[in-house]
Amino acid sequence: MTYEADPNDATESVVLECDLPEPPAKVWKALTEPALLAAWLLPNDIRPEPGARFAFQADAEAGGGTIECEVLDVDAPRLLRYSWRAADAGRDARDRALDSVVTFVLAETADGGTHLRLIHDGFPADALQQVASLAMATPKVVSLDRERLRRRASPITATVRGGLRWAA
Amino acid sequence: MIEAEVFRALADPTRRAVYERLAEREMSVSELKAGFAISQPAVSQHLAALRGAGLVRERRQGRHAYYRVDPRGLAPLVRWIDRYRAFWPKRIEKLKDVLKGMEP
Repeated sequence: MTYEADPNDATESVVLECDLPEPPAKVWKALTEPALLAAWLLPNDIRPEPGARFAFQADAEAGGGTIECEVLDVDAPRLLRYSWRAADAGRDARDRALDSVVTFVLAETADGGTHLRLIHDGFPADALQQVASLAMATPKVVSLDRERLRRRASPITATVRGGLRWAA
Repeated sequence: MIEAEVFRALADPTRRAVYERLAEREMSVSELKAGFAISQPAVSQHLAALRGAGLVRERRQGRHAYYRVDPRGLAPLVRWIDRYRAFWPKRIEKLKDVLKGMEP
């Protein structure tokens, strides 16, 4: 496995990077053709057009139900970004509290392969940041090393994890 | 889902402010209200939502009720992100297989 969380990613959440031997055009197909995408991700009706709405049928690992998506950015074969709303986000279309964003960035490598970067972020970042600042301001609530936390590039994760440790 | 409740509860700016104030110390509704330009029933509604999401706890003492945050309520946030931390690496492995099987 060559995956690493990027410690410099300020928005934190989930970041994966890997080098693939196939060229970007081929990887792009696997990201944007429904049958190919379904073969590795989830059944879907994706259309790689700006503003297009589509859905994934989530398996248990993905939380089940329907994941509703909207294409936010598309620049073949370099960038694909769509919103990602899991089924447990609730039925209220106005409620954006659980929306997150999935981004694929493809860059051609020197040997003609693809460097793929996957970012899943935009979780209620707003709320998480509040939680983070809250935890830093109130040591009695979440017990952790506040100075260390401030120095971290990714305070949100640190704080939330700290919160869990506190609970454990 | 509990996750949805937690996220939704914290997505409201006023409710988040209420949560932050309660993180400083335990307070009664009237103490809490003093910091906000909203009515006591509105504060109570926010408290009810926060309690419903497991983010705030109530302690009753005689006729008075006091409120404070329950940090364990944040655990769903961690679970949510952990789900995808486990999910994506597996799917990228599958992507590699799919790419190998594709026509040139």
